Amino acid sequence: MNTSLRWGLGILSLLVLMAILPPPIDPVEQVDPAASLHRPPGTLLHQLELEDGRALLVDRLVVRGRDVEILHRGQIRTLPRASITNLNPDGSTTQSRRFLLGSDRFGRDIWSRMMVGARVSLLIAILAMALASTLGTLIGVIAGTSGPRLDNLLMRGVDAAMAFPSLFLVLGLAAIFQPSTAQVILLLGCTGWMGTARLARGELLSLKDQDFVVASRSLGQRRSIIVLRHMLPNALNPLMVNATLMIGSVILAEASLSFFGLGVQAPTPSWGNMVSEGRTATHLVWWSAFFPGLAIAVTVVAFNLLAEGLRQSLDPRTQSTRSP
Amino acid sequence: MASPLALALCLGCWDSSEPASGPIKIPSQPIAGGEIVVACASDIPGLNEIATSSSQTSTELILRMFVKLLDELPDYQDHPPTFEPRLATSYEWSEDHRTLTFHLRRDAVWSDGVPITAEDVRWTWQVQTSDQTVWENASMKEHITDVEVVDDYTARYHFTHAYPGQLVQANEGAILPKHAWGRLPLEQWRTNLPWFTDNLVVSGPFTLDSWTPQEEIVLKRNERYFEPGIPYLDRVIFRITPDPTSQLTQLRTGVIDYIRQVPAEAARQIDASPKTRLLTYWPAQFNPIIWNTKNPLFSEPSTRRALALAIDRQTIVDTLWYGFAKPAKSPVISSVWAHHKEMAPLPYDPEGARKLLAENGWTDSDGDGILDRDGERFSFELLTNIGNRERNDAAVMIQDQLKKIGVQVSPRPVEWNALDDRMSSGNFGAIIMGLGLDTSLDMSSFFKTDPEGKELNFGYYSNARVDEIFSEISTVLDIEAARPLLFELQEILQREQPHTYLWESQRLVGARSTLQGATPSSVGTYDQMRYWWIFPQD
Amino acid sequence: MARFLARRIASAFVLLLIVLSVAFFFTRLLPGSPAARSSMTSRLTPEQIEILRSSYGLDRPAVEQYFTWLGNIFFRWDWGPSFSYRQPAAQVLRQALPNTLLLGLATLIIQYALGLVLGVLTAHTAGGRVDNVLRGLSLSVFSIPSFWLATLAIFLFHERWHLLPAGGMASPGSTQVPLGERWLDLFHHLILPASVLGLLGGVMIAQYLRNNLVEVLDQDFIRTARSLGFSKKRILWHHALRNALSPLVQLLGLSLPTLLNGVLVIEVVFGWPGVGQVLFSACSARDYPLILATTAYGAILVIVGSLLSDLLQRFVDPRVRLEASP
Repeated sequence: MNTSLRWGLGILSLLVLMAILPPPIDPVEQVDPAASLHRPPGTLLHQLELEDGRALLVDRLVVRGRDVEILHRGQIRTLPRASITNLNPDGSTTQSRRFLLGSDRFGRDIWSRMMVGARVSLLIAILAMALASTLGTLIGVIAGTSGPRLDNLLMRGVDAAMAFPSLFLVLGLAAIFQPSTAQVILLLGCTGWMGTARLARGELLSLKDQDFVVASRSLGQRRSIIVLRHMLPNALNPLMVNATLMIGSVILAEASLSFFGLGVQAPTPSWGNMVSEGRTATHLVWWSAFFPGLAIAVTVVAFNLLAEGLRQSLDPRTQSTRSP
Repeated sequence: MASPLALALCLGCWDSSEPASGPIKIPSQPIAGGEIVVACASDIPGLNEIATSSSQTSTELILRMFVKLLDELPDYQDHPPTFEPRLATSYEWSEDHRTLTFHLRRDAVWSDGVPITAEDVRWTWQVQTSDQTVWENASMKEHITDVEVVDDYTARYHFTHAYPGQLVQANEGAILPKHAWGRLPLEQWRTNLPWFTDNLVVSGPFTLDSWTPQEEIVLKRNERYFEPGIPYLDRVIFRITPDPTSQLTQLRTGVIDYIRQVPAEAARQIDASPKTRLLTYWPAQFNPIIWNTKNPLFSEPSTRRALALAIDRQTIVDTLWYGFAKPAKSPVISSVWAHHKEMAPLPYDPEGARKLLAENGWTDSDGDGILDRDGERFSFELLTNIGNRERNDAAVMIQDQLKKIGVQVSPRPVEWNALDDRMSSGNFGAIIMGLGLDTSLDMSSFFKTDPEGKELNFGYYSNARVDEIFSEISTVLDIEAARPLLFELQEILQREQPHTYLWESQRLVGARSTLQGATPSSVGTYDQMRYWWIFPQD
Repeated sequence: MARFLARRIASAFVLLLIVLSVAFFFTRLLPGSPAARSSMTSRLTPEQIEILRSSYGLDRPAVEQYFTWLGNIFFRWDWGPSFSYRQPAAQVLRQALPNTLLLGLATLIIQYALGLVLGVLTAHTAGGRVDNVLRGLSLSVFSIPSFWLATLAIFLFHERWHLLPAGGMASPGSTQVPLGERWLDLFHHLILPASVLGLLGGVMIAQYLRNNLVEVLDQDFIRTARSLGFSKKRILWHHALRNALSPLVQLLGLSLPTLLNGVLVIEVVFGWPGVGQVLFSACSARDYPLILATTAYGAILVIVGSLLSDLLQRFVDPRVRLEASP
């Protein structure tokens, strides 16, 4: 196992851990948003449940006899102790909210949202990658193993798809369908397969005249068997590296979609929509866009390292260059 | 790998304090000269308002170059707005209130020196109502049968009948130059917009200096404008800056002097900085959730009322607007004379909401946390338009609030044209929308029974008494006398909740501290630009 | 050569036809119509809407519209009138296109300059510390969303250090100054958007070039050269690079669509008056002719670009013969 692979896998397992662990605070629910919005990282707020069913988030509370003095929305107020239902005998509350990485504009915990966002973003990335890879490989294999006529037709189709400005496609599709997670996956999958198709075709073309393929062809094996048993496995390595690289770019593309308001829609958090929502307030509350942006960058780095590592360990030729 | 991240971390140590500078000394008299840079979000299609589909920007920009007969004043707090003479010096009504005579200024000339006459007024009306120009506001002129040229400086409007909006409708649209623009055949008006720019002749305080598409539109003073010494500014540069974040940044760094929309969260900072000022006004806009009354979920007024009771408007306002808005209760906003001040707003009362819904048969019979009736769950989509942050955010908050009474809401931002399509075809449950109500206060298009959905009654609301009120109002010539009717209408709307009004918000305009005289109002953000002036900063 | 050219141009033509046709029917699927636009903001009466629809030919069957439209393009290069700008769509684009090309070209130059330097440097020190640090650095730059990097760049270079303008193509009020007198100003405005895009593309090229060089350096003819006593630097610049150049040129053709999309996004962030902004406003106005013209211009750029890069590749790589390929 080489360094790139080790690092890539290491970061990735941390990210997966982040995605599967339960978030400490409900990422969607809004409790007393006006009192908790845009709080800096590390803020601790105490949650008071009132008799009338409302909840308050206060910065400080001091019990003074039958009253409780609270600091709420920057003002000091007094409440009767009896009106609070979740006060311990010692004057502390049973609930509190610690915003590890700050809170967003509804007072929701950014760290918790990032944990759930990890699920969404990684899911989108992997599914979109799977869609694009399958589509691309299928077309590439058909083009690379069939006659020149079909090959030519398919490759012109790939050219056409590449020449079609995808921004237009994205804007148009978003108008036809309502933006949703499924649509984002579909959109990214359907606009990302062309590179894979070219790669797969190229690989298969180069395998076509290799000895073992020629041999099995002369043995009279069926073409589908040759392709599936002999050629595809030999082309798998570069395709795998390509797919890993693609995950990174899909995560970036999801963020760009959110920039145009067409990505995953609220209240579901994704790293992409967290960054683009937080961007407008960057100069006031840097944490709202910074941490999700960091998560995107780290994830893309991880997948790139993974791809690089895979390339090195799968390619017999690179092994020799490592020795001076 | 650490370096870009470290760069990004600088955001954290950003210091909002500005270098200390003494308070700016404002000269007591306007200073003539200088130029300002105004940000606008998109380019405008052209300079002829009749031949373009208008946007707010293009309408406002064109009004700097072309004047109307009268100017509406933003003095509608205590009575209907009054009109100030502009191209007309005075006007008078006939006995039967069916003809309106305007007397024009005798010193007004087009920028090429040709006098502005009643011929121009008549010709403007002709092109406004022509089938070939397809002007979008042509319907405002439908009750005008003729514009008669009495003499060079007197024009007389003839109406089919007397009604409240006569003056507003006669005054709609700027007067255009017949001798210059009349040379282009009408059938070419909709395909050759640049022609009007090449043959531009203006009547207003400013004229076009240069126009670089998608980049900037530069206006300069029109030396032949009829008010002596006006405008003060030599040049106004409208700079196209689509990204709102970028607009704000450039206001702070001094590149741009005036932006028409500051995000609420940044407003305090703009106000606190010695270099910039915050100017605010209450635009005549109301922000309702429109309930589709044809949808079985929202057909009962008491259900709509229950939903309204369960929406915590105060919290929405506090969270989204940072103190620049207040909860709303009526389509007539509270700064307008006809607002029903005595009517108490609906409280935030989730308990009451639950009771009302239970009375209508909505209970959680299967225990999944969501109300149901006859096997149907109380679940609907709340549509908003993509890109409007406050509405999208409000939808998310309403989702959270209604969940507490067992109603499932899915916020659904939809692209504008698609939303428009669904709205006009009635293919929706509920929509958060912003709607404008001009000072004529004609709300019939929103609430009058309209089964075919031709007007703006998107939710197909229908109430016999409301229809009656509108026909009664339409006979009252002085709208101020209709105040009791308008109050009754607001009470019915509150009771029946065809719309649930969420907030009325201030428009936040950001300006450089050295820019004086700017008075953005619901008449326009560039209103009275001819009296704006700027002084050099030391 | 001539035969090859003819074939490639013919196939590019067919390609364009496919893109145009798909785009045409795609726009007809979009909800909302340009004539009935915005029931909320405009007060068009139903009669007026009918007049508009028939004057734009929207009342005729889609197939008939399609052939009229295609005919006008091929015989007269007439893309129809833009609904929202009320002038020929081609005229709207003629103003925006040069700006997009300028930004694209500047980006391309930065991309390749950066990619070449960084790629050779990392290949030269392959496996060493410099290589690792530089590759780590470029990897992390590559991993930042472009609009986020743009925001950061504006914040640092404009707001904080007051070095560069935040957007547009010229200082306010100077767009009409003759180009000769304001080329410095233009350059000033070009730096940020082109660098942001160039940085993102450049690190990708560097990575690609490095891997290629490392591979080439391992080949027999290089080993021979090394054993003959040529210096490492000389081998790298003279022999290896020449061999790695061909895939780099091929990459140029492949990366054009990505570049174009990147330019369109960056244009919105930086307020660059190009095709991206036109496309954006055309889409929201349902301005069919303008949307289609923009799409087609984009497609032509990409197709012509890849054609050129193919030709160039055959020029730099002696192994590829012009007649050989399909």
